[in-house]
Amino acid sequence: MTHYVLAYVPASLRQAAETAVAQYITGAGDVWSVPLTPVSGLMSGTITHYGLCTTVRDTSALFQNLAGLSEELAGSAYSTVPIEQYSQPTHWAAWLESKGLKGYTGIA
Amino acid sequence: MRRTRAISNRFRGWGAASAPAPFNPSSIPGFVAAFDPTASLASNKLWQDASKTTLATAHNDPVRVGVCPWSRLDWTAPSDAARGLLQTDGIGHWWILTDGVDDLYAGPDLTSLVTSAATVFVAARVNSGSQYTIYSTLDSTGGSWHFDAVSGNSHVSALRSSRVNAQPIIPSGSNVEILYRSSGSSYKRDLNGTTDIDTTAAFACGTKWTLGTAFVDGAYSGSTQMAGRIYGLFAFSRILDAAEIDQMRTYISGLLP
Repeated sequence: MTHYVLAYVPASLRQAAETAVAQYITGAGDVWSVPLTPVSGLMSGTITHYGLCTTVRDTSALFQNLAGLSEELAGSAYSTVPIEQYSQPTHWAAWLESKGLKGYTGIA
Repeated sequence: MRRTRAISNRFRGWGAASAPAPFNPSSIPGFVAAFDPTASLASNKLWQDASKTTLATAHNDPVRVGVCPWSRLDWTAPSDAARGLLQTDGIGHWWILTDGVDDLYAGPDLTSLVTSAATVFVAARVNSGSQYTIYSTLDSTGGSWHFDAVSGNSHVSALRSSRVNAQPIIPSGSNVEILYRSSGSSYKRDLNGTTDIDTTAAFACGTKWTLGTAFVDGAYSGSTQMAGRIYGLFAFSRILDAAEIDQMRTYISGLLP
């Protein structure tokens, strides 16, 4: 089965996170591309985290190692959902909000 | 009688051989590029990887590169994480599903091909949310959803309509066909065949489009991307006439489930 993996890391660990997933995701280097900001501030506030959403099979090494990766990257979090059940508002926006984060858009 | 029949058969054979080729967007003068998952799939031009070694052929295959079957120009996701998924309804319709987080496709730079005027068709569907407004760009006064276009380093485009007070509501789950026409000194936009913007305001023609980028309203403050389906984008370097627009609308309607 294929899942979406949704994750974020603290901005200070962005490069470390790129390195950590490079062995699993081809083209890593610009994988953690989604800027995030605290939910309490403006959408143009400080970027505190970077996120990603990618698809992986549950048999893949990345899927098997998600817990270890998250542990390695302090302050990170991840969530998975089968692609057939995925809903952006629920599994990304609401999940982020539950973690105190939202998308950084540059819009005040 | 025999001779007549033989001649008749020969003419039938010639007729079949010289039948006009089926219409495709490149048949229209001024065609410059398309992102057309259905046509690219049919000609083995959807790739899962940047090096173009693994074809995307099946439902839920990720797509890193979509090559326009006519111009041979590429539409490319910036990383494997940013790939959309090839999906189908099983009866011949195909699209790219974007996740609303990071999926997008950067189009070819058409600066040398699109200069003073452009016509662009986009066919898409927003999958989630109660409604989306389609009107503008980096505008703090409200939500917006658009197909991004960049000319050089400046965000100016035929696809944008910032500062134009027209904010049609597009319900989620509905297919939408958007037609943009920009002459450089005038701008028109049609949604599902109805003109909702017709202005003499000058909007420079976009020359590099990104598919999947969106700026959505407050209900989706966690996203700057479109969660939905991309059926296609078709760009021309001039203003198409009414008959040509009809041809394209018929073609696009065939792409939609």
